[in-house]
Amino acid sequence: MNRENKKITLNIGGMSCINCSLTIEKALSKLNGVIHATVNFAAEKAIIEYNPDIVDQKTIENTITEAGYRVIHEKIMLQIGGMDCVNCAQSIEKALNCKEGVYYATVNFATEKVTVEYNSEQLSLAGIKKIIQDVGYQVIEPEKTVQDAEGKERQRHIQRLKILLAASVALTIPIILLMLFPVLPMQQNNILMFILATPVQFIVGWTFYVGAYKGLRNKTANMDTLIAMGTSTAWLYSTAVTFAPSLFPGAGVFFDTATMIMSFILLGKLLDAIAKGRTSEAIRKIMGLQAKTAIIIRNGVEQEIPIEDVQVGDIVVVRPGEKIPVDGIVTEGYSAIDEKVITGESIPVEKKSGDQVVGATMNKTGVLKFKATKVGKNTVLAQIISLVEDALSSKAPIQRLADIASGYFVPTIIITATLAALAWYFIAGATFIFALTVFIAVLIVACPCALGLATPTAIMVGVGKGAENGILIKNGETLEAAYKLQTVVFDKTGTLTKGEPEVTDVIPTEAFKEDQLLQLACIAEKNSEHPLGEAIVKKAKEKGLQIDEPDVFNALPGYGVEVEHKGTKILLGNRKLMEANNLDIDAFDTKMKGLEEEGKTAMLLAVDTQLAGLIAVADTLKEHSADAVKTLQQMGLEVIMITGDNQRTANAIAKQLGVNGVFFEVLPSEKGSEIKRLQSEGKVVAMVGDGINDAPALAQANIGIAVGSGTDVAIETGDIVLVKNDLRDVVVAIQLSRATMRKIRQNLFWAFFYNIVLVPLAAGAFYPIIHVLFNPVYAAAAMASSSVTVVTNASLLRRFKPKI
Amino acid sequence: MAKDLVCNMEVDEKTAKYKTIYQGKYYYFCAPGCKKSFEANPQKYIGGNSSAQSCNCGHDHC
Repeated sequence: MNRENKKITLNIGGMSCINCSLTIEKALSKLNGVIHATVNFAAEKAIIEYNPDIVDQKTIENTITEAGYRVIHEKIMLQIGGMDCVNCAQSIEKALNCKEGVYYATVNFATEKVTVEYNSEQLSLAGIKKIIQDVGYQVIEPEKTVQDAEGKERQRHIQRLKILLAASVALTIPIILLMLFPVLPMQQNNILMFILATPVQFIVGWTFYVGAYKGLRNKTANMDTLIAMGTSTAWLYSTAVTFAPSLFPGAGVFFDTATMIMSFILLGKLLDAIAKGRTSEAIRKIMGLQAKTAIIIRNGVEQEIPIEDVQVGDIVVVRPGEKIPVDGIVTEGYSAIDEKVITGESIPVEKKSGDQVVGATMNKTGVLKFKATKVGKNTVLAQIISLVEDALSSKAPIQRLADIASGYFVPTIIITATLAALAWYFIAGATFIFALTVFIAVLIVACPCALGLATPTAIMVGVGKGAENGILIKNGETLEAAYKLQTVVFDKTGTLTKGEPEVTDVIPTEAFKEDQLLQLACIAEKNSEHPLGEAIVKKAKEKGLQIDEPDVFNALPGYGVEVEHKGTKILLGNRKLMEANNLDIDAFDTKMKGLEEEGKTAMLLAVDTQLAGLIAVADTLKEHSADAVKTLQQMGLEVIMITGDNQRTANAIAKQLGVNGVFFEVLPSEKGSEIKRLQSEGKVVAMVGDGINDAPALAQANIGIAVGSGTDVAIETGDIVLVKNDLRDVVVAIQLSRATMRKIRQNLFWAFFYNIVLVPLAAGAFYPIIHVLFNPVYAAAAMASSSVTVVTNASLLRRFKPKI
Repeated sequence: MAKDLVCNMEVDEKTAKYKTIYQGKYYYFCAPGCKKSFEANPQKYIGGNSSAQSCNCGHDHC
């Protein structure tokens, strides 16, 4: 029995720094049957791929627990209706407990309540309700109790840090006062400080000992190890001086150092936690967008139901000011819908029967009825959320550098601290207290956390910022590729151009007026299904012209159309049509050739036997294509256009855009190899296309950018998905990726730079020159500020504004 | 008068409602079905215009 490999996501609690995520990764990859495990420290999630034949989820979770961390379980209590006997309770329990993702389920028959502990990544609340309903019972009350365990966990963590910090500060202040103004004789003064400092060391600081112990058990060392060692050293020394002063003649205590270090580090952790919450703000905002309930019509009756219960095919009613609950197609009504949450576009879009609507968008003006087409996990919003979550768990390749460094970091620091202290004491002949200060300062000042937070926090802000603007960045590699990008290849039809022809020129003879010519053409094309004809009808409608029905209509394949209208014959078509009717077209020959040189299709119109004029139709550029191309070029990128069209049409469009190169007559299947050819020249290439026809080319490119059309998003293809049909977003996406990458590099630079400068300073390497020793208290302040700086620097990315 | 090459009926080119052009020359038909048949395979009909062709235009008057 060989089953396929499984992939699960678990929410992890209790990680205090990047080493923790490495520890978990290491522990999991040692486990037989685990194929791949990545832990994202910033998102606090683990993604594990494993072979279910060899190992089960329980063992995996136990491994995480044994490593000293928690797998966060979501817990819910639901009221059940329809239970008649204890057996009913048992059957519900059994059904739930068999389900993957459920840890345990108990049903209390007396209170008619079921408590389910489950993994929210594997099973949704709606899923649980469905199981219960499938067994034959009703879920009466909507969910009541513990929701959003993740958010609660973060809140609780912040709250706990606040209390610890307050306690630590409250005890530290009197210690500092006693240090500065010793009111009692030396020994008693020291004992009083000991009494104040000890709770700080062991109660407030307990978390560091626990962290250090977890590390030790996994044979690794982490930031907690450093802090625990540093502060314990200060406390132990001071305690020894206090109770055995004869052993240390003339030595002073430094309880204040230990407690101040503790306070500073707690402050740093608190600020960190708050800033980390802020970096994920944009993402949480997206997740909270969904409507909670929907009004549907069943059996002719309107009823409000939870959104989880809406099924494909249901008719949903949405009133002005309400959110569209799920994706669907409008069947009745007319309204303007604000799609900003999905597309980033703030101008409302008008919707009528047959148009698509997307869940989480806002109905502004009218009542709409629509048929649900996508619900649950299949809605556009749900797909965007899962895409963003995946992106957060991915690592930029540059992060590997930081990962490797932090693996060796803590042992290196402990060795450095020890060697520095020994060297000062035995070689340089410094005092014991001097050597001790050096030892503590080095341990405290070193900061592996800044290294660990550098990348994930920046990715979190960058990806969130993108999603807010309808730009979905799928992974960390993309950010790095965007940084190195040299060439951007655009597909022509439908990407640079609108993809549908439009009337560009109307040139009548002297006997006719422009509108008159257009009106005649429109009558001729009224019943045509040809795209050129549709373009003419559209133009006439835009101009508000009256459109008559022709009496007789004949499509003449390869020539044009011939119609009769109120006794007149109208001919509209190419040169051959006019020649077949013996009409002289010499007067228009030059004009026609000129238009054709511009890549347009020119059509001649004749009324009875008289030539009336010329109408040209072409696939025109999208509004912002030229802007986008120009801005990309200003950013130093080479822009190339690729198309299946002939050289003449391709060159005509290329000339309007001013691109650096054109690949024409390229079959859709060949687009990928053209990209490959560019790459073989050593270029880092981005391909921009529609995501459907261009999928192979998008996959071949270093960055595939799929352009959506508002609500119909091909989310699967491409590394970046643009929800809006606006090419300026290509520029924004590249700029945002580059800005994010810049942040990552800045963060990594500061994190490395900080340690490279401050560790030697704390070790006293500069003492012979500057004659000042780094006070361990300053070391603590510096260390606390370093990771806060990194996180804050990352969150500055929220202010990102594209330059276009 | 012109001849509907598909069904061999006589049609007036001045009033004929159904026509098409093939190789620069107009052809006239009695019904849309004949036009469609012709356009699908014009070579079949312009080969000879004396013998009656089978009509698949589905109209009684054909």
